[in-house]
Amino acid sequence: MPKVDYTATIERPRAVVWEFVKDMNNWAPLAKGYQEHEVVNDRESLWTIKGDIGPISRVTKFHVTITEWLEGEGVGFALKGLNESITGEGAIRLNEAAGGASTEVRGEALLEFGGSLGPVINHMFVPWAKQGADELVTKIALTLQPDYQKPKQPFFITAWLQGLGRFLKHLFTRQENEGR
Amino acid sequence: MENRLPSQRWDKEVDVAVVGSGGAGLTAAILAHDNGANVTVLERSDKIGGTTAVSGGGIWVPLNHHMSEIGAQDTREEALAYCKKLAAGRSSDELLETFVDTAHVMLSYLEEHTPVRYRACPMPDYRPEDPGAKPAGRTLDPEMFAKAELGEWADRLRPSPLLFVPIKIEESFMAFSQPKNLPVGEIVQRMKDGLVASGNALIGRLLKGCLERNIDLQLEARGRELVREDGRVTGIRAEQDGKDVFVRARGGVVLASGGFEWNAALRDRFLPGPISHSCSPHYNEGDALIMAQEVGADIGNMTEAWVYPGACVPGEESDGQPVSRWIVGERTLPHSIMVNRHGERFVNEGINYNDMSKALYNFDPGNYEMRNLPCWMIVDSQYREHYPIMTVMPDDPDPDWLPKEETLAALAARVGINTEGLATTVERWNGFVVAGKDRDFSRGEGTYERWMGDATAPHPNLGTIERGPFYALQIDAHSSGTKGGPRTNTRGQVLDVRGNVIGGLYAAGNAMAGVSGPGYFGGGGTIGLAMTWGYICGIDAAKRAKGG
Repeated sequence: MPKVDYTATIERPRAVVWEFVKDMNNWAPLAKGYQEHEVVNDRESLWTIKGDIGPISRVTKFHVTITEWLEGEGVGFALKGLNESITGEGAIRLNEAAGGASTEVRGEALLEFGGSLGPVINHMFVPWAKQGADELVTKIALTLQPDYQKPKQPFFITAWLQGLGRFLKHLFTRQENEGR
Repeated sequence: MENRLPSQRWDKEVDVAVVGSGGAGLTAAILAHDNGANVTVLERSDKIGGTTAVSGGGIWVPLNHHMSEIGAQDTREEALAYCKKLAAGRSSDELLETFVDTAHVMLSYLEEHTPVRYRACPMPDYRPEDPGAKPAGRTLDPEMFAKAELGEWADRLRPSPLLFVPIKIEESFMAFSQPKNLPVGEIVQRMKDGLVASGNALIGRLLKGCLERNIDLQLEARGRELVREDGRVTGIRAEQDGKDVFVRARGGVVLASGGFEWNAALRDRFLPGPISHSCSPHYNEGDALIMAQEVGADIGNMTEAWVYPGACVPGEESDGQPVSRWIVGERTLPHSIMVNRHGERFVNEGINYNDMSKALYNFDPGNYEMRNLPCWMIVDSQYREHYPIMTVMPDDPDPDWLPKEETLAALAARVGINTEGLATTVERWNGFVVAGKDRDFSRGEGTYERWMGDATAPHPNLGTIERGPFYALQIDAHSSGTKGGPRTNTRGQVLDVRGNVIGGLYAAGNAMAGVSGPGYFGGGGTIGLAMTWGYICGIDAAKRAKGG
């Protein structure tokens, strides 16, 4: 089951970001592979997205239902494929940062292809889905803050930091255990 | 056209220049190298592998040493009898004998000297009831390959839009007949292990063989024009980075850049019917054919192509082109028939795709039309509950691109099939199913179609069409390549219109006049021939470079 997320910090207050995020029409066209969307009512909409499974791109239609609405803080939704056996859920969540001057925008999605070949397709879909979460959040950030710069971390630094984190966690966990 | 060049204008000098990086091209490059030649490969696209990379990667090799692994046996006489029957007098006996005598030698050589590895496969020949045919063993499946072994070249392997999941040949057919029995967990693990199968495995292994030999591989280098001096081909002009690059090839130029299926003008000029889509790379525009004709090559087998009944899922694309999907299980499994616009069945739906193309291209002189194009697969809910339709699995929702109606009459009216014709045909078909015999086309009586069928069903290929809803999938003629091109002799040398050798020019694979004529020997028949001629051309061009 591919689970992906991406977070960006925008130098705008949360209220400003919420004004943009609360209206789906503002950010729907920013989604990776966006073809079109149609608002059915306050909670439901129909989306058409072109996504990649390995070397193939396919057009998928989704029925999206808003399942969670936290005024000023975020929105959660469920999705179901209309022409593909795919279900999932996702959210855009906003958290204050830098004492309220900035907002942390987090996009997350959990998708699952069904059917007998579901596990195979799920595996192949992960790279596109990861890129999709990254692209949507980054584009929202750029729309609200045109000078937004995506943090760049060379892979070896990321890997080094992750390794250091694991080492420290291991170290502290061991000290805690030994202290008991 | 005499195309002279002062020697100082050569940008590169090698013994052998190979145009194209599919199975034929890479085999030619390896054999030329191993016979002492300095080799360069010119590949038009930014990916290695050509049509082979997007294929199943199987090779059809009579007398191969893997046959004993599954208890199969073969003789030269049987193989020749079978090949001659299928070539139908449109290929010379000499060429067919060369193929039968060389293909297994080529395979043994590659397995001994390169990473290429094959395994025996229980797939029957395409016409197992013909004299000399075999029920299994001549088609071989490439062993899977860890792409990471290619290092920085791994991303240069052309991905296959159809066979990008690492599965064996048997599993790919199981995906049609028993999709729920596929070893899905094992397949996911193979993907996690970075394994590729099918054409990617074969090309990956050949490419590794080239890299181990430090063979020069030039990407985005399109061969455009042969250079001749004193009537002999001495090199080639390629285009790379917007500039002309002149490559001198002392031993010769091997044309192995595929067919002309993506060139609409050439298709219209030579093929007997339309091709609506192709599954091969869209770079196959007949470059080799044009270059060879320009220096006076004779051409042959031009009306033949590897044509299959195909369809597309609307909106599905790869490399900017619609994905052409092969209709295989849909026409072989129970509860399906194929009809034309008159509502008539016109062929045994279960026969191999190459032979079916002859029926698809049936021209009706009375109505002056292609009588069987387009045509439709008609299936009922019994089929839908058990088997996939292209990408739609039995438990998937009905897609909006697949016409569906509660009655056959409504379905016929919707897609444009004669309603009465379809009703009559289905009634007749259901009678055949009850009787257990297709009296019109003998569907389900051949070894090949029974192998492709559902062994767990009451009959592997026959089933009534009676329970709604009913579905109609439009079928058109698609292609994986063309079979026509410059004629060659048994050494792979291109011949001119008077039958004389054009010195320094070779052709292999879909770029050459196909040795199988109108026929298709079995799974991997295309690549088996292509690699055999690549093997022959590589050796001969290397010898020629040394003055042989």
